[in-house]
Amino acid sequence: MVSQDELDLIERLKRGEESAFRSLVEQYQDLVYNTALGVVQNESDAEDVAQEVFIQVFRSIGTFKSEAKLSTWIYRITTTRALDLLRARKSKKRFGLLKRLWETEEESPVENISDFNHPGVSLERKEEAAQLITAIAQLPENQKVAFVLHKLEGLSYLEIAEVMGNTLPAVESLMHRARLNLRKILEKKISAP
Amino acid sequence: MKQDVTQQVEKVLNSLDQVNRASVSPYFYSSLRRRMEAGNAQPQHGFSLQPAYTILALLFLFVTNVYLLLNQPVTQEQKSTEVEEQTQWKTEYALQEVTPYQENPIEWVAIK
Repeated sequence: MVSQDELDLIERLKRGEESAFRSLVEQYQDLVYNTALGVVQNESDAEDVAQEVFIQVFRSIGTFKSEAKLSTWIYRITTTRALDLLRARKSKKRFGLLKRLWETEEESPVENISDFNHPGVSLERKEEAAQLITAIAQLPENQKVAFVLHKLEGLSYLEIAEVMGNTLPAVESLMHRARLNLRKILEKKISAP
Repeated sequence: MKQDVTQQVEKVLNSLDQVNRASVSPYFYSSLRRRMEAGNAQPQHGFSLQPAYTILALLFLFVTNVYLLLNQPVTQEQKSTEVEEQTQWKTEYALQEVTPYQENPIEWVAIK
């Protein structure tokens, strides 16, 4: 159910009020950034995705129907944008060898995904969390999104279903398969000498 | 041993429980506004005319052309048309092939 405050904010956004846009960004910036970070696993890429998300929200707020919550819509845009970036990164890798001949130092990605540590993890869990994050990166797109939304954003399966446009049983099955896959990946890694 | 691995896997799987939400930099809003004002709102990971792509495309066109040129099949019809054209030219300009004997038969016999 959409609250009255949210409806007011949407109306002000539709009128193009800058103060409304600023308050929207302040309210949702960490939600967007944290979700994007979980998917793309790189801080500067996540910030880039977050900016693109707010630009898209600003441009298409006129088409937003207040049937769903604003946060659900924003989560949907965020996951789509983050996955787009991952796909672009994959296709870049294919042309990597050729591109490296022309790329300057600043253009090439400096941070390595396998070295990524989520800034919200406590120090004593850092090592295990890094292993889990590396394993999440190997999941198929849908499983990755569902797992990130559940683990990093604390969304319930029902909320994930709304974001992903799926049914609740479909999300339950997605999460089950994600856990199975993660177990396989981690078992292989941990038992390796 | 297997139990140790299972325990470790469970520990890793639960390592993101109660994780704090990551926060953007304090300059996020100002850099977002700058980007919007600069009109740089288009995603930057589409196809672009970077030198690598351009050279790759040119290379592809060149290889395709060379391949087609080398493997162009010559049909029987083309061959007969070429012969006909040559004959017409020869007739028109009196370019008959003349052997040394035909050119000067007496000299030719003397040499022999």
